[in-house]
Amino acid sequence: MAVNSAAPGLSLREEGARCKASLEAFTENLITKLAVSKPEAEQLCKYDRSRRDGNMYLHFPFCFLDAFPGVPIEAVRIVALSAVLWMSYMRAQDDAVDKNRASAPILLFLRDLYLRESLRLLYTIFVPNSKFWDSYSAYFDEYAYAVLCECRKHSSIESHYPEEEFCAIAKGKAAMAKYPLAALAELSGHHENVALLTESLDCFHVGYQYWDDVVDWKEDLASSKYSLLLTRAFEGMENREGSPDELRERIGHAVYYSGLAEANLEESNRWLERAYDLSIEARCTVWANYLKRLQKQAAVLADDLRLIMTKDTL
Amino acid sequence: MKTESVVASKIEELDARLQMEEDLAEMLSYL
Repeated sequence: MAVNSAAPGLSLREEGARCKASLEAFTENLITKLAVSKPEAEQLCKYDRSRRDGNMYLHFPFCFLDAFPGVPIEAVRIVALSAVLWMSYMRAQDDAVDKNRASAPILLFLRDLYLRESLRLLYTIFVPNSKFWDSYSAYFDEYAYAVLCECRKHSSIESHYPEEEFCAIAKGKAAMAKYPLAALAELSGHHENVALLTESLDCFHVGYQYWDDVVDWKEDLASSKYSLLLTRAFEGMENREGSPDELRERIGHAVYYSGLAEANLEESNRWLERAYDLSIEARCTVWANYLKRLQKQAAVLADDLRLIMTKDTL
Repeated sequence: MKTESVVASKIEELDARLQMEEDLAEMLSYL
């Protein structure tokens, strides 16, 4: 798939593959330098492998070049690699803050080195007093606040989950996805579409989360992650006792037959539509196409679930 | 009125349909 008219000949998939190869080379180099044992090396590589080929975030900044013309390709690649290193950092950080899992010392070093390299790359294109760093700090604070809020309130305990908090957490956990936009704006000198596109990203992450909570409800239940969907399912249940299998069956009944899945998919559709409109307003067609694709997929899923529930069974 | 076994089988079918979304979820996953 070509990126856009502003960058003819670019392939999103090739750029993603290039980025992933650089990430893996970085980790391999660390494994050699730090004389990491084979079992530990396997653990380290899992963060890189968790980004499957084709994952949108491997070529993320390239989705927005329509709105930021004139940025040299090498600079976009630096932003892309920095963002992918950040994501591996974030995965390692997730493991480190998970109270149920003790992180091995090597994982803590790896986590810090991911962040160090991600920042080093950004300092090759932004001077220390660049306005870019103000945006970076604001997004980092938003991310940290959301992770801590989710940790405190929605891990392994059932708590009240206001919709506003759900939206803030969904936006905040992925807030660092906004720094590539700030980077492209600074590099191109085109700041006029940043607000539209950062809001589009926020709306996308909320829409994605509503959809993902439906897709992942069984996995969330198994890992005691009390999503908004699961919290609502529990709220509607009188009897919360029973074996894990019985509980799963009752939750499944609530998710599908109490309209919770349907409501989540409707909300997802609404947020994705808003994200799409903002993207079109910013004339960012590559990103808009991604949004439309997910929106259509969520609509097909909602139709299929409805069909399965209402069709006659022999 | 649907019997419990019919509902259970439909829930299995609904779960299977959700599984089909997982590929896309991985492609779009940030976390």
